[in-house]
Amino acid sequence: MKRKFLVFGFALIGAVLVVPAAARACAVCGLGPDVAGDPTARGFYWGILFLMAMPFAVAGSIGAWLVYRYWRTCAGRWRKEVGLPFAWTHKESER
Amino acid sequence: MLMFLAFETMFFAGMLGVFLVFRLSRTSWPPPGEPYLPIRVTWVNTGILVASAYAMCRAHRAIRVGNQAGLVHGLGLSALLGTTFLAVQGSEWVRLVHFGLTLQSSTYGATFYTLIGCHGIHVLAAVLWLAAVLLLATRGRFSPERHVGVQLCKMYWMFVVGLWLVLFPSVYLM
Repeated sequence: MKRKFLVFGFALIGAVLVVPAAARACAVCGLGPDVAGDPTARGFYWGILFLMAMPFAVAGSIGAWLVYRYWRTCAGRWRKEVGLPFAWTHKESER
Repeated sequence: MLMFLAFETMFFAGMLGVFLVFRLSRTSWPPPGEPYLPIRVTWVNTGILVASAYAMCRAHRAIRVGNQAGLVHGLGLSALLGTTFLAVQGSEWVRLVHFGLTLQSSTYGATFYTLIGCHGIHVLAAVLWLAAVLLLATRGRFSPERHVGVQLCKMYWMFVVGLWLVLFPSVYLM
């Protein structure tokens, strides 16, 4: 079930990349960043792009931090239960 | 706390988006008739704020090893540097108002004061929170096992400093 969702998700991203005209549905974004003689459109373009990216940046940062904390906890547990025979220093072996 | 900081990030992202739309839609900057922003003084002010973040980290590290004096010194230094930052910002705003840049003077003034003003209010709130944590620290309320108050205050302080490191290049240097 999980694999189906992943395949569907990637297929959707691929479809959007193959048909870029469909992705430029926004009337302002479709104009592009360098609209001759219209700096207002350029301002709106970059402003929209920035605001669109922000939720992903915030959620991604929180997610990445949570994954990092989980890996650190797992690594700590591994080091204590399994890694002890492989300790290189007295400090690592906690003696 | 993370959710609160995420909310604050989106709040500032919205305001920064407005500023970006306005800034990038202009061919000349600042707009004709508007004063230039004080960049050199603000560079020094940025250094002061970053130093306060370092002092905050030192304070947190101190309480983690049970160093009460280190915690109090670090928090005190952070509060002092944060207050200095606010004082310098305030004095620069007074000068800008004197040069005619006010909240009502133009879109430039409105976006500038809204964005930087909101950040200033957040720094003020952080300084007040820090003062409360400092008061508790002087009474020995924190220990290596119990110092969540210091951790949360540090998180918010780091957020405020990190936010300034985004706002300063966007508003003053761009």
